Amino acid sequence: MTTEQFKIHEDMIFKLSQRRSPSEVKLKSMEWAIVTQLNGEKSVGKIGETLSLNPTETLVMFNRLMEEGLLELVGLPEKDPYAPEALLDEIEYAFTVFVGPVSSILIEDTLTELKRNRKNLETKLVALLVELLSLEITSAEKRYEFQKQMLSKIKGLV
Amino acid sequence: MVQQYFSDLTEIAGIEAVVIFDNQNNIVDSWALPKYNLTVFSELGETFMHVFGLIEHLDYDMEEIVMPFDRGLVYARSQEKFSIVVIARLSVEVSLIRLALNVNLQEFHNTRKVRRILKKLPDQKFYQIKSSTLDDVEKIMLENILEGGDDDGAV
Repeated sequence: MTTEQFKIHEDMIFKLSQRRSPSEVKLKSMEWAIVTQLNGEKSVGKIGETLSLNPTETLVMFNRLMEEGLLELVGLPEKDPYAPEALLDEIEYAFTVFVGPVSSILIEDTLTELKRNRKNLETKLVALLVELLSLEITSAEKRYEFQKQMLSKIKGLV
Repeated sequence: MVQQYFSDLTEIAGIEAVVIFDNQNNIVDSWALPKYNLTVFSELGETFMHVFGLIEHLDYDMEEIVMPFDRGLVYARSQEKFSIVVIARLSVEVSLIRLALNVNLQEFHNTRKVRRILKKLPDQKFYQIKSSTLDDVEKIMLENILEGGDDDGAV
């Protein structure tokens, strides 16, 4: 399986490619550290955590290793990283109760702010979407009700 | 108390500890994975008491702090009579922690038993900062911070 067509995600699992040796490439020490962790079992996120890298640093270094042809994809995340569209429909339904018919516009605007759409919103970003939408509800009591409803829906997903 | 009122938070995968501190840095209640040594929480609580005390004194509009560390993140939220500190793995989204806390804190505050407990707690954080607990560098930093602000609360 080639890796070039994939955008690296923290749930992906890689092993060292047989096509190229790391010694052929000039790597930084932390990139070497990642190479030593590649065992075809640990996910990108897990390796980042082990090496105390933040998610952005991890993805930058994995991208570099992939560009150098050192990575071979072993496994895609079993779980779909994107939130099901049905969940976004449920959010919209609940949100409409609190803000009225402008809810769909507000959701689209917020998704655009996040540089996402209904098809590519990662599950882990749903809580952020809910948080941003909550800010549109002026009544503290209603905001709490919306957040409570949404928490019960998204808690099991992450 | 934590497990009873903050179950939405403790049930999130990757949440490793939740500790409630009163404004005198006493642990009101805590929940943590067994790997955590409970004695570290007091130091953690003291740090946040200092920070939240200053925020309160300087009247800044800021009630939460998130700090990443080598293996995770610490999220702290200040309330009038207590602070709540959450330790989580880096994979946990801060917005999810905030969402769970928003919901659970509301229920927490609305519980009669909790209200009775909170009534007895001191409500100011800043005046709990004891100069004896600060080292020289911290004292100088504190003086510098307070120089520009209201001077009536010197420690």
